[in-house]
Amino acid sequence: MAGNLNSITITGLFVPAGGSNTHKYYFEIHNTGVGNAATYKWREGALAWSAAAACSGTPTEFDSGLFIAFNQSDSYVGGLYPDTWTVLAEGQVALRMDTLGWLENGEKRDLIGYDAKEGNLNIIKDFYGAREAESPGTLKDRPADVTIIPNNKEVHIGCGPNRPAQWLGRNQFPTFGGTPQENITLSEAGLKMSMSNVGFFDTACIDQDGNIWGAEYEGTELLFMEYNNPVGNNNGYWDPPVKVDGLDFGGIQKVSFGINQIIPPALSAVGYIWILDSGSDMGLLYKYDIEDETFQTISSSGIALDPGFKISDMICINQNSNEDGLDYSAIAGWDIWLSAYKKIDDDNYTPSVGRGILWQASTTNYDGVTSLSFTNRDPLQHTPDGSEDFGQWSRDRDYSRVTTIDQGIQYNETCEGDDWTDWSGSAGENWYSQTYRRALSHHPHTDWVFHLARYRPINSDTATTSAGKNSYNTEFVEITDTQPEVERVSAWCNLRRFDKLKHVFVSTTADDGRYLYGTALLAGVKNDYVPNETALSDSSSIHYIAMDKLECTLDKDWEGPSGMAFSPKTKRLYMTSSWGGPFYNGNRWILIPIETDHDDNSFEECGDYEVCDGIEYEESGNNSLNGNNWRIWAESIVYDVDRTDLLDDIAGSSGNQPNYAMLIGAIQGQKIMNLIGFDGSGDDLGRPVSTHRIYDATNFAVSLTGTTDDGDSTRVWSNKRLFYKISFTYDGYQESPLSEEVWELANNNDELEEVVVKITIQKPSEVNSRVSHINLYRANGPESDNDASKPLGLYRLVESKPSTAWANRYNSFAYITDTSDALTGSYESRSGISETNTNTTIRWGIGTVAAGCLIVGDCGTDEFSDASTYLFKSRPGDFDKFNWSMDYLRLPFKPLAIANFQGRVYCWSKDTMVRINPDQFYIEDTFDGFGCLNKKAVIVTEYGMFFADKNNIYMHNGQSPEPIGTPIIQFTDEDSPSGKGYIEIAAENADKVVMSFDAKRGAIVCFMNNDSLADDASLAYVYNVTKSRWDIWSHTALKDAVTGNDGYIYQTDGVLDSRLFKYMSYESKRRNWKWHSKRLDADQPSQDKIFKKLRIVSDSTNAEIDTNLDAYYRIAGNKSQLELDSAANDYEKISSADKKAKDVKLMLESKNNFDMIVNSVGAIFRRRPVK
Amino acid sequence: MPKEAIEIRTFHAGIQASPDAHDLPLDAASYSENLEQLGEDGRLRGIPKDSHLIQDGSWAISDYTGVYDISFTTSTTTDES
Repeated sequence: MAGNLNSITITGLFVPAGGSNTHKYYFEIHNTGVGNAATYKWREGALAWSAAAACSGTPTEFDSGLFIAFNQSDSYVGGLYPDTWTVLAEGQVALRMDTLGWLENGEKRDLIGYDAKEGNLNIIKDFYGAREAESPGTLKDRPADVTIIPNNKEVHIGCGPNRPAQWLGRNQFPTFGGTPQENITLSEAGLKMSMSNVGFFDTACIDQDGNIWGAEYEGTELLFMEYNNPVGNNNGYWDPPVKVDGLDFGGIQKVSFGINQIIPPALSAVGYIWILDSGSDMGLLYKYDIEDETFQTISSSGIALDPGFKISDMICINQNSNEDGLDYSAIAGWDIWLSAYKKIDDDNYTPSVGRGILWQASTTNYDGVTSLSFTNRDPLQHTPDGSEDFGQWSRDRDYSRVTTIDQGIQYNETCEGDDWTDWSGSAGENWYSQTYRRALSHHPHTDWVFHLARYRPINSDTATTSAGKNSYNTEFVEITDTQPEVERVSAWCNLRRFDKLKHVFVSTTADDGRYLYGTALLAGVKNDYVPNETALSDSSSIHYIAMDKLECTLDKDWEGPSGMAFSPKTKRLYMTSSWGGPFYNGNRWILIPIETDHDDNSFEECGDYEVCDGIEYEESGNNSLNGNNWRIWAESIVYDVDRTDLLDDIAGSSGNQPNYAMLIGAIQGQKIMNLIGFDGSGDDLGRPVSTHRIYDATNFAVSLTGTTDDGDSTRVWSNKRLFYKISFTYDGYQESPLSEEVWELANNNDELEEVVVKITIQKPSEVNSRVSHINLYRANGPESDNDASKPLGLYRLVESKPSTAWANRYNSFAYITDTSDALTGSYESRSGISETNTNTTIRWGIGTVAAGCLIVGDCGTDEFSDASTYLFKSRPGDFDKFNWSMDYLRLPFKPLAIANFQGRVYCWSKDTMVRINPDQFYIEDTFDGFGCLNKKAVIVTEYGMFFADKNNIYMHNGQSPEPIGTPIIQFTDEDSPSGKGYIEIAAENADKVVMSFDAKRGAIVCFMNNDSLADDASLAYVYNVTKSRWDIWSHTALKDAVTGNDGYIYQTDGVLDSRLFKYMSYESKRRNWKWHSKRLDADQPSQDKIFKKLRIVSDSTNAEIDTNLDAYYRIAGNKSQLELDSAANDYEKISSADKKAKDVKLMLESKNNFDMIVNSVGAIFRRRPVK
Repeated sequence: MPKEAIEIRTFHAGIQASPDAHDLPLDAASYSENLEQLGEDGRLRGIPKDSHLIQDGSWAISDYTGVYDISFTTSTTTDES
């Protein structure tokens, strides 16, 4: 007979792509049979049947998030007639929200939710009305957590100490020359005074047509510069960058070009731009189809990073079937390489044994690839027993010997001089330690992939001991004086017994002596490496070649290479400085070519490198490019017969040289973006061969036109040089720093009557939409010094022009007429910021509003090396503007939580609370022993401030904190579930606790989130303030909760991460409940009693009570169930044989989600005589 | 000795687990879960279930998984294993 044919299971979260919210699905057995022989089909409504699929017991998605599983997959039965099922599904909003906040909109209110997984902000507009979902964008670098601070019709979003704060709100001013905006805008919070409308290209690549694709490091936009050469000569140029629409990124790390095929002459774009985006430790890969202008998400598999490791670089290598780098007319496939690193933290450095620094995947599916399976390509070495293991190469110099170290590993190393030809039997230390970013580059001639990273500095104290550590301190190898013969020199472990500082680079900066600044390591890996390959051309067993350390002087703040590229022409690798500090060498080391000297496969002879001079280039004798902020852009192989002019110009290629181009870009101030084709030969290492000043990124132009009259020596500005600057006003009230740019006008005599200042915006649409005004400031120079280089007085406002003054949307401009006495307030008096301060931005993780200011903690700023123990206070009312040099407070700890309560700011560590005066910004009092679990474990209500630490929950009434959680901190009763006391749960879930407020009940709800696996499985401790009553409520695990105007708590979904809950809002359906009495002893705890009956009084019917209520009692240590009979609402006889006890405990537990109400309970007893 | 009765008519005290049980109010609970604080004369009653937002902007009871009905039909009993 048939089994349970009803037994299909439908699970999942149904999210219809569009159309009707309710779908009716039909399922039908297609082929009957047993096990996998059985198949089924499905259709939705009147649509066509699907293809037949196996009746599997494994849940399989069939449509829109719904999964089907056949419960009899091992023996599915069918019959002559098809079995069918009908499934009705109702769509649900899949809206992941991990942090919640409110955005006010007059009488309406929007709910904001941050999706930490995708890095997106989600908004439910008009939350109490129409409820429309919208996503205004992705936060830069997808912070793991955010703090949302509402302010008027905007919110300020703290993204932690390493990511810029964000601003979200409704622009209340029109764009320049445009119309009033009604949309919700997401923008970086910083009040930037940038004349440029584009970010600088930190990473870029060139496609087959010479177009440039790039992005600012951690930028959210992919930018495109089209190459134009209409007349086919060497006067080609690039158009200004434009954003490529279609996808917002969390923080672009790298772009790389992958070509599909070459169709000479170039007919159309047939290539792809690969993009490595941040968002997870493994990064997110995207591919942009140049031809179709579409983005594709590429999923990655096979990557397993050890804890703390993160993908840092990516390259797409166009496989040349000959692997000779000469002919790319036939692309054999792509190799995608990823490199990983574990960021150095000198304060918490643990030499680690991690793996997973190099990953590689291949594909030939240019158009259709949607996933890549990566293989680990970490360097291997042969151990003496012949097996392969992870490690780095080491060797001894100038002799052959056998050494056994403590772990029993035997070294058999032979080497003479600098001849590194014999590596057999070598062994060494571990590769995997904390480094800075690891850059990748490809050597197309030989198909090697190079990776380059800077290793940790070593403390000089360590270096001067007799114990040798390698320079990056990953392994400790003891070398004592009793073994003087040991000279340990590894390829990258550069300390040796008798030459301790060899190859360890000492900074020339002022704080020399504290640190030795470590090496940058360069190594090559064969692109077509096969893990078990045991021989190269020379029959050695080495698969990887250490290129050696780089003998350049590194600034201690240098965080590794920002880019690396290979020039096939010079056979040199080039690397540029990082997004951290530059190479240090009198500010002239800005680009370092590295001689590889390998034009064939003889990579065994490695170690030849050369550090070359930096660029010393004078363009047309005026603007020196030395010291500019260079970025290496691309190593691109360009095969385009129509573009030889471009290639010649950039790369200086000639004759039969393959067409290569390598570009670097630089920026000077914020005005000009330069491209330089960089190559060189012979003695001209490091010399750029051509330069293109191709793009003026300035979006603003300011022209000064003076008009004269007969002269008036009484004018204030007579005979003085005039200096003008501008600033932006954001959001109508927050003023940016003054521009670094200065526009000057000489006033040689007293004839200057007025100055007409024309401010032109080249692209009004690209001005930050928050900018509402442009303000013109003037400062006068000293008397009778028209050649003065700087003003004598302060910059004072001439006029503030609102965006409405720019009438034209295109190439818009406005005039301001300045006269001698037009000046008003100084910039500093208007903004509260020094006119020399060019940065008013703080990165922050926690914040509160007090005294009209935003006070923030968990901070980062470019101005402080470590701002983690500082609080900063914004300018009053200007929550995005910080006078960081003045308005700061140093704390005795790193702040964990912060709140404003009754005019004071409270700030916590895990075990200490401080009270802060927000006006004078100083610590008034310190309360040791009162900590806070996390930033969400505190809430301020009309009843007081409540916070939770590891020991208790506290109520602060404005005077002092008092512990209130004693009744629930521990359950010792034998009938209470174990492990449900507050202290026990808080100890295990300190980071998850969220404090919220149930306004309908006047109750503090401390969500403990102790079970994220099932709905309604976590516990919340609930304190009713007016009744001083504690309860425990169940809840579905959450990440955040906010109280709505309607009094309900709205909470995120910590189980499926996709639902928005309205806590305890479904009034017609009730949860099951439990109530355990105390020990009822009739006020005579020592007197024996005979308990006769127990009574439960309810309005429910007898049948309802019987079905939906369990009753237990405990007498004399014995727990029994009370048998409820049909005579409900009456006393029930205690059936226990032992009725004699000093007390009784009654326990009631409702079930079946029935709305069981119990009015009262009672017990009948007789006291035993006192003996 | 005469029979006596212990009556608990209201349940306002909530959980009071830690202090000596003998010092607690009569209606104190040594443990409880999901009891409503909004009083209807202090009776024992469960708190409401949750609702969550669904696609059409309305709130659905949180027990929903998106599938609210499955029906099975077969015309005969000829199925065989």
